[in-house]
Amino acid sequence: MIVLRPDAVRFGNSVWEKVARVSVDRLSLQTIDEWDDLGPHVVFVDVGRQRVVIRVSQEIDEDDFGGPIPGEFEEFSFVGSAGSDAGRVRVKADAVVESVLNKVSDYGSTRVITLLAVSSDGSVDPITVS
Amino acid sequence: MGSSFKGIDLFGSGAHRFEVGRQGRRVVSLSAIAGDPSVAGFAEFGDLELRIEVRGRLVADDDAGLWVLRDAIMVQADSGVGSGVLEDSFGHQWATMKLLSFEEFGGTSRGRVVSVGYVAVFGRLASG
Repeated sequence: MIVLRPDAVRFGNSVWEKVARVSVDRLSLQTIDEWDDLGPHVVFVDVGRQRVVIRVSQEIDEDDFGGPIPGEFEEFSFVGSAGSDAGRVRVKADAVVESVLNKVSDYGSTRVITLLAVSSDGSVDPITVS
Repeated sequence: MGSSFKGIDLFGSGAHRFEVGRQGRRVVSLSAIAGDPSVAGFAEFGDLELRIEVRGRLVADDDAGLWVLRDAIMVQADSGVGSGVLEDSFGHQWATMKLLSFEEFGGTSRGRVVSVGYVAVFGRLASG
């Protein structure tokens, strides 16, 4: 999932301004693959463990002494807009900050916040789209 | 054609592979028997008992289904159960085999389906 210029990006009580994009990546941490006696090709693949990674790219154009801290756990949410109210989609997830990286160049500064989404019980998808 | 033990499809829920163990004469060094490293030579003690490992993955839609598959295998691993014919996926048969052990590894995986890896060891025992 990639959302450009999302609205109302929140992490707990904090509002993150000037977010250029939010991406949600789903990664396998345990890929199970099996071969049978019948031939050389894999006949079974499943993912036993997965990680949902949220990356928030935020444009920084003035001094900023704050920012989230790795390990913080809050509800993360944003609204993606398709150009009209009818197309607005709210995305939510309980998430933990994994890293905060600032990239500075002559053309501007960007902060990339990486969050790991947390499921309520392990079986429920941690990302809610409504 | 699927594999079977006593005509029962125990492993067909998922991929599995047969592996025939070491075969031949049982040879033991005389120094080991005598407890004396200076003793040379070896002695034969009959043929090795046949062992066949089946390695694979049990696959079910839910945990209850996986337990059904496990239980069906464990019934055959009980010490009171007699021997039978083990057949691989190509129709090759080994008679008078017993399921000696069944061991899971890696824990139960709950992804798209519920599954667990296993090793089942079959043997033809000289004692019958």
